[in-house]
Amino acid sequence: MGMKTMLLFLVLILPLTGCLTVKTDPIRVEPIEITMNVNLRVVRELDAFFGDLDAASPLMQAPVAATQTP
Amino acid sequence: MTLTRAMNLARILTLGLAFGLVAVSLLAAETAGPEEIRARMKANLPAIDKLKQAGKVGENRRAYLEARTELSETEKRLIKTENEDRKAVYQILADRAKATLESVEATRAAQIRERSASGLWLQDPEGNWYRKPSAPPARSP
Repeated sequence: MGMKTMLLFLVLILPLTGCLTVKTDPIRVEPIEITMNVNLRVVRELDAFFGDLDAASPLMQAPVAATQTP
Repeated sequence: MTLTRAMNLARILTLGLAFGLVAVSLLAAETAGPEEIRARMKANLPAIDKLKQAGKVGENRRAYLEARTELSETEKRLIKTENEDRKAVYQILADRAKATLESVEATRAAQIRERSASGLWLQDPEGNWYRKPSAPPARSP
């Protein structure tokens, strides 16, 4: 009888233990955000330096205005 | 005796001063500012465009110029100067953006692929060379 109660208790408890391990999702977003920020900074710096040069060359299209804004 | 010593000292000082001047001028040449580099790149642009249009050089996947045919010594020197200038600029921009040199090179290479006119030699990220095809005509509805 005691064994059955223990088993029943375990069966009821086991699904609840799964709920305790879900707390790591937001951490995975951060590196993506950092990479995106770095890429945006790189594009901005490149456009700031090469914008004039690209515009001066007939073989290159000038950068799109949206990427030049700070 | 004293005169000889004074002359030796003067010689040493002159030599030291000469070495110092050479070292300072070399250092100044090495650490050219971005504006100075931009001015040189702008001055070299027509000659480089001419080489690109003739299919003699292409833009590689790291955003540097690479020979596609045999080049003259003058042309080789021009490409070398341009690539050194580009590398210096990429490093400055990488430091400003707190990014790696490699990421700046790859991003600039992508910009060049996107913005280049058709017919120019380009290298894709996998290392394959191709001539940029002409843009497809706009479809009418």
